[in-house]
Amino acid sequence: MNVATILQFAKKNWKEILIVICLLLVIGKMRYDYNQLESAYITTQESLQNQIEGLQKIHKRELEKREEALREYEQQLNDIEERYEMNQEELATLKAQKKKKYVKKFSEDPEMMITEIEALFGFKHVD
Amino acid sequence: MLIRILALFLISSTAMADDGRFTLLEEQQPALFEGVLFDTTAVVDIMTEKANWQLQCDIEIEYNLDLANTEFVLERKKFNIRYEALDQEYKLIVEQKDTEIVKLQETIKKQSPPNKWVWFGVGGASGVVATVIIAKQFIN
Repeated sequence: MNVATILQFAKKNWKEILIVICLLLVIGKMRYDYNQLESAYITTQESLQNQIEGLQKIHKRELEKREEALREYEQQLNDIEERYEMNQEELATLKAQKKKKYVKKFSEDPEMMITEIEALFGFKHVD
Repeated sequence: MLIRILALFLISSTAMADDGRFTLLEEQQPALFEGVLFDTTAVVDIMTEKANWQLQCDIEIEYNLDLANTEFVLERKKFNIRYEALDQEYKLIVEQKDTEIVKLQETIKKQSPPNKWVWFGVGGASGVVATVIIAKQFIN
């Protein structure tokens, strides 16, 4: 099959060849358009996927931080309660010591006690 | 304890109002004036409460302030954490949208090249030529 035969065939069947070429062009253009659309779809899908993954990570980190903050809060509450109880105990000890001191003063030195009562309450002592 | 303190304040305020009096009595000794007799333990209790109420108040105030402060710090931390998360979400979405826009623009540019008028002219001319050829064929 030489060139002359091909040319003769083409000349004889140029319409069919033209139709086939046009069809191939249309199909090619359709495939190209389809690929472009698919590319746009994949781009959007990738973007959404990345967003979902990112949001999940951010949400997870947020939850971890909130838990950490709550742990710190509970620890601080415990410290406050401990300090409060310790202060109350110290106060109770102080009161007990003061009571002892007052009882001792009352029995040893009533005059001193009178002065204390006057100073503390502002009452007037009557003999 | 609270009742004792209230009674103490009541007694002391009443006493202060009309210059309260007190005296020390031996057992069986007649009282110099009408009033309420406390024994030594009761007086010592009242005096101790009176002497320590400021300290008790300070402890209660410190405790309640610490609680309020801790609550506040926790709330502030929660708000900050939420703010940071929202900020990160915003940045992530904007970044992803920017990337998406760039890629879609590239696709659109491929789809509609800048020399679209040339393509339009070539298409139109091809259409005219094809129509003429087909018409000639039908005429022949």
